Amino acid sequence: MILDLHTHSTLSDDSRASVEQYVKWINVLRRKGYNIDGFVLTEHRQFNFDIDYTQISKDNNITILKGAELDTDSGHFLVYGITKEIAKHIKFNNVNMSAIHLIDVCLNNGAIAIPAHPGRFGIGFIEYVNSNNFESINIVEHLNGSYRPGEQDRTEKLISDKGYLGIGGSDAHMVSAIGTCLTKFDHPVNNEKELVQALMTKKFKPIKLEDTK
Amino acid sequence: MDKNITFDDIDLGDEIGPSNKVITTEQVFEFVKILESKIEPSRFTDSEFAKSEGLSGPIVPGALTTAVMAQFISNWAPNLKIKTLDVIFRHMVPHNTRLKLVGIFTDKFTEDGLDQLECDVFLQDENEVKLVIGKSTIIVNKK
Repeated sequence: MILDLHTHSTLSDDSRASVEQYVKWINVLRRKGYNIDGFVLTEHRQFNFDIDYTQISKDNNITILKGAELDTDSGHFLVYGITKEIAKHIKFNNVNMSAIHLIDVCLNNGAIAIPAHPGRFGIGFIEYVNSNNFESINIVEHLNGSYRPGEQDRTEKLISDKGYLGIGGSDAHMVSAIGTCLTKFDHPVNNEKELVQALMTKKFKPIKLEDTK
Repeated sequence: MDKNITFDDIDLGDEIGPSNKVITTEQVFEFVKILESKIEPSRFTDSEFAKSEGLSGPIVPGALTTAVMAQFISNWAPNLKIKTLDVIFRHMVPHNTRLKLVGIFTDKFTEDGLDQLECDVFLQDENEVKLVIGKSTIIVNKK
């Protein structure tokens, strides 16, 4: 099962790609021989419980799940498995929320929070990793499609130093960017709950689009 | 390409470019002169002013960058008409640096009797960092 775990649709203010366009593009990639099963929408600072992608997902045989990318005092975090209970404990649009609080809320409610683009200069988790007790973090975003020169090297060092596992996500904001970085799971992932379970089992690895042919 | 194209010529995934470009300080000044009869020091025209705003040097105005991206599309095929070009500025564009423009067609459709293409357009630096990203809807005029 191969999923892009980090994408933004037009619901995020800095994206210009609709979900329908992503779906169309994945079908283009499939015709070219690439293997992508689906993607997770991780909109910036929000989570919409009402949006339902079931029909477009079924029509195209593409798994479409929902998560979020949240700003914290220790960098951006990808959050999977969001529930209404979690929404009671965090404000999605709080750009300076406590990362420790977010991680705890997720752990206590069957969700998971994973540092996004941890090697990014200025706002990456690597800048904060030693400033607090992040012992419950054991997965970070290893491959990110928007890295600048040097940031991947910083991520590699972080992962090596801390022994983290890694996921992959394109961080797509434009149609043609989706799928450039992905995560390959050993087991099927059909919904957000299964995604969290799959991440907990640690049986996954980050891959690039060219590795799926 | 620099030739007329038809709607059927384009498949999703087809690319435009790459095309190299340097936006010089002289070009920035010429652009600013259109707006201001007397050029005042700004982040676009003056190194010290730019540094006082935390920049490493003067930058290219966003409107000029957008114009360069539009020119890239229209130069590629004269019979294309740009309907929209919606850009996102992800990083500053400095003067006098080597830039690369690339485009990739992501959709094609006919609406209101007009054949239209959608294209992602990227303005990158020499390390292929995407400084400005854009999405353009393009009308393919009949020959």
